[in-house]
This record gives sequence, C-alpha cells and structure tokens, in this order.
Amino acid sequence: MTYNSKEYRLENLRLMIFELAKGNFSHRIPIEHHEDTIQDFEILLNLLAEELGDFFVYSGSFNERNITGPFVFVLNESFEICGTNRYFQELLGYPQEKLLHQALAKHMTTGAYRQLQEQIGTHLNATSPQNSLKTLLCFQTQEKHSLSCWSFCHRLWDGEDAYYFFRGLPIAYEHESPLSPVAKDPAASYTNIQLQADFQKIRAVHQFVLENLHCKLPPLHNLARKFHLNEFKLKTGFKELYQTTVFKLHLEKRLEMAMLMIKFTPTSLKVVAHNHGFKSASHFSRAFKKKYGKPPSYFKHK
Amino acid sequence: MHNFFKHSYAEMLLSNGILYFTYLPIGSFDENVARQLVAARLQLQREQAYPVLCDIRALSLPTKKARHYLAVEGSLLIKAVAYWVQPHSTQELTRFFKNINQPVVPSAIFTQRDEALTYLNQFIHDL
Repeated sequence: MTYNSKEYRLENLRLMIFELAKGNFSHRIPIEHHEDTIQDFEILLNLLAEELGDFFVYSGSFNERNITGPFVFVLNESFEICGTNRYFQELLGYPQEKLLHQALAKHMTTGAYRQLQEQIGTHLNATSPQNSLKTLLCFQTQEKHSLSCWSFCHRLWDGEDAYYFFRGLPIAYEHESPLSPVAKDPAASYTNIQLQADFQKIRAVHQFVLENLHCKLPPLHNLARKFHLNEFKLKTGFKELYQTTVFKLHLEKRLEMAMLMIKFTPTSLKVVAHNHGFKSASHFSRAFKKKYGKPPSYFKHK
Repeated sequence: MHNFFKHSYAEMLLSNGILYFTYLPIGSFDENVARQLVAARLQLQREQAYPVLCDIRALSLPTKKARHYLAVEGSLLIKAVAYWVQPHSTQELTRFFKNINQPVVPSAIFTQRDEALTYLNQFIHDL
C-alpha cells in the first residue's frame, strides 16, 4: 500500500472514524489536494472532529495529563532542522545525526509541509506583529507511519538570522490506546443521555437567538415552550453547552454587531441602537459602555 | 462612491445591486482574516445591505472560529448569499458550513455562476 494510494487514503478515513468513535477529536486526516470524492470525506471528517472537539474534553487530548512530554525542534530560515530534543528523535524513529541539517520537508507529508510554509510566511514573517503560531504538523516516521502533532511555533531572531522554534505534542499515535471520552462536567445536573435528547432543541434556541439579533427576545418560559423544552432544561442545558445564558448571549452578540456597524459604517448611533433591538439610544449606550468601557461615540466611524 | 475594493484576501465589487465577493487563495484562514474581511466589506457597503455572490472556488479551509464568525458577524448587511463553488472541496466545505455553522441569512450553493445570479435577483429589491 503506497503512500497517497487510494487504499492508503481509505485506510486513513477508517482510522479517523475509529479515532472519533474512541473520543479522540484531535486526530486529523492530511489533505493532499486530490479533488475527488475521498477528499470530500476527508474534509468533512476533519470538520466534524473540529466541531465535536468543542463539546467534549478527552483526557488524551493535546495538553492533557497522559502525555509524556513535549517534543522540541528548531529550524533555520531554509527550513532545515538545526536542533531537536530526544523525544522528537524517538517520535520520528531517527537518531539525532539523521535529523540534523536535514530539510524538514523530508519528514513531513507534502500537504502539511506546504501549509506550514504558508502559515509561517503569512503570520511569522519579519514584519508580522505576531511571534507565535499554533499549528498542526503531520510527520512521516521512520516506519512510514503518519504522525499528527499540535505544536506552537515561535520566531526567534538573533540579530542576523531567524529561527523557528517548535514545541508540541503528538495527538494521534497509533500504538497508544486512548482513554474513553468523558463529558465536560461529570457532576452535571443531568445525564448525558438526557442532554443528548435535548441537545438539538438547545442548538435550535441558540440559532434562534442569533437570527433575532435585531429584536427583543420573548421571555424564557415562552422561548422554552416554543422549542418544547421546560424552562429549567433550557436554562441549564444552554449554560452547559455555551457557557453563557440565553439573554447574555443575545446582548453580547447585539453589542458586537453594533460595534462593527459603528466602526465601519456611517450609520447613526440611533439607527444602530434601533436595528439591534435596543429600546432607546440611551439604553444602548449604557449597555455598550458596560461592555467596552467607552461610549459608542468613541468608536464612531470617521 | 467606491464600488470596488481589493484586499490581500479577497476582491469585492458592487454592481447592479449585487456585491460580487471573490476570495483569493488564503494561506491560513483564521478568525483574524475573517474579521478583516468583514470590516473591509462593511466599509465598502457603507450602510446598504446587498445580496452577495460569493465566489469561493479558491478558498482554503477556514478554522472553526473563522467559520462561526462568518456565519453570524459575516451576515451583517447581507440580504442573501449565493456561494459559487467548485465541485468537491469547496462544495463540501460550504455544505458543511451551511448545515452546521448555519449562516443567519438565506444561503444557497451553486456550481454555475448564472444560476447563482438568478437566485440573487429575487433579493435585489427586497427591503
């Protein structure tokens, strides 16, 4: 089974499904730009993993407790490896002398390497205000396994040359068996199964809030009735899923949208207040000042 | 009044009541990029809402935060969006975006530009 063959890519899809079933939402399939049906599913599964990752905390995820230690390596401006720690050598299965002064491209999948180059070029160049970047790396190990890792990349400058310092953790190591997924809050007031049953309804309420940023929301008990929930479940479930309340989300989002209108359009404050469901310009100003610390006029588009 | 804006990430043209929004290839499409694009679009539109033909054939994968930002804040001053996609990658990405991130304005996906414009025509004179 050669790298990039149809069988290899189908095997990657299978592996991804298994990882999701085991609760590992940090696994990603490398995308190599084939523009075919398999790639459609590679993209969809990657997106699915990203969405699911927000709803669960998996104890084997990046930055969690069962990871032995971070790998470290340093690149020069030509993307050649000029330093590694022992863990990085162990992960890739090469001794230090086989890695030093080698092009990183030799040890990464083509798509991931190209993406890394683009990210560094865009976000970590000499003029960029940002000096670190969180990125997904996909290595080819000595045994020809694909190894996905999250890592932070920092740009270092010694006055003459730039270096890229990477520090990260593997997220999908085939030989480790991950632990089962756990819900975000094990002491939650109602069980996972009940939460799953109400989940779709709560998501619908969330969507309803976002679609009604131009007007006042109905009272909570009416909203609960509209979506066939009881008020308690709506209140608790919404807080657990979105870490905020229905009305706080509604207010926060309206203020954020209003801020965009104020900063980037010539719309008057009175119209902005009215279009975002505030009773009056003064009510809007008070809420705005509470969130941003300054009155809306301070940010006015000129 | 300006009717055209070229940004490093996209080109925008206002013509005959439609905003033509064309994504350029973006190396790393994160929330910061999404914020810049929305700001640039609002500045071009001033306070007028438009139906948008969004050509995303060259688009690379936006991050989850970028998708969420585009779904809500990205809908500001937009009457409707027709996504012009190429089969496979951007088509799947847009289907996912439409179903899961759920933009708050009417949206539809097309592989043919003419069909996308026909869809948008119904929104041109809507208030």
